[in-house]
Amino acid sequence: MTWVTGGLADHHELDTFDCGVESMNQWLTNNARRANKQDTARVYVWTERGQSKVLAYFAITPTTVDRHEDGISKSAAKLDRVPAFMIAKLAVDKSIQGQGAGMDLVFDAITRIVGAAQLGGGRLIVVDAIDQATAGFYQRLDFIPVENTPNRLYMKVETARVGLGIA
Amino acid sequence: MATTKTDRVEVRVARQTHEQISAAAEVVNESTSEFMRNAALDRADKILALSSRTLMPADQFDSMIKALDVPDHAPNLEKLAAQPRLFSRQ
Repeated sequence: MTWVTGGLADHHELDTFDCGVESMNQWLTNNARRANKQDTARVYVWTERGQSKVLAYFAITPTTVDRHEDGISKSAAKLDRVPAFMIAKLAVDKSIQGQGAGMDLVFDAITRIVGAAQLGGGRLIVVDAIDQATAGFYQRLDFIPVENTPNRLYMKVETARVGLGIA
Repeated sequence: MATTKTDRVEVRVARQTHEQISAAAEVVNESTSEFMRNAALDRADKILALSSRTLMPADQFDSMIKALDVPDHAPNLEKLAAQPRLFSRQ
């Protein structure tokens, strides 16, 4: 089975999506369109070819990674903030779970981010994993845990670029 | 991140608290309101784990920054890249 990936559009059916996690279902049905229109997030979806029913989705948002030192919020001389992209949401419908779709969905997201990064912007990819199991899933794709922040991981865009074989 | 500050938040504090905050703000070269805004935002981010930013401990941040252009070893990503894709672009 090959799924088709593309940006969220008006014709996509969102109501039937069920990944088993209510918050992820609700974000797609209630917030995804607005976020996409307002440019607060870029939402991408997978469907079967020629179909509108969404079977997987992810959302990318701009973000920053900030140097954090207790009690001192700003260090004058040093670089203390790096622009980044966040994979803020990522979910697969139950009907296609267990076929490696999740891994490939992350691959799709990373590819989109590397493409966007080439136009300027982020140097890091950050993921906000919804639980420990999901964080483990990202670690198995070589994401590195951010210390002191549970379920937050990162990867350098450069790592992704080289890992994906993009010259 | 460069949004216009239009809203105003007022807080009542004991004089001693005010002095303590101002003194701390001075140490890090921030105005008192800047300091309070940053401190409150840090806390809010931590509590909500908001995607607006990620706070990385200084040590980890510094070693990452030093090698921002050097790719980390990513054998699993490479393995995934070598597999056939389950999706195609529209």
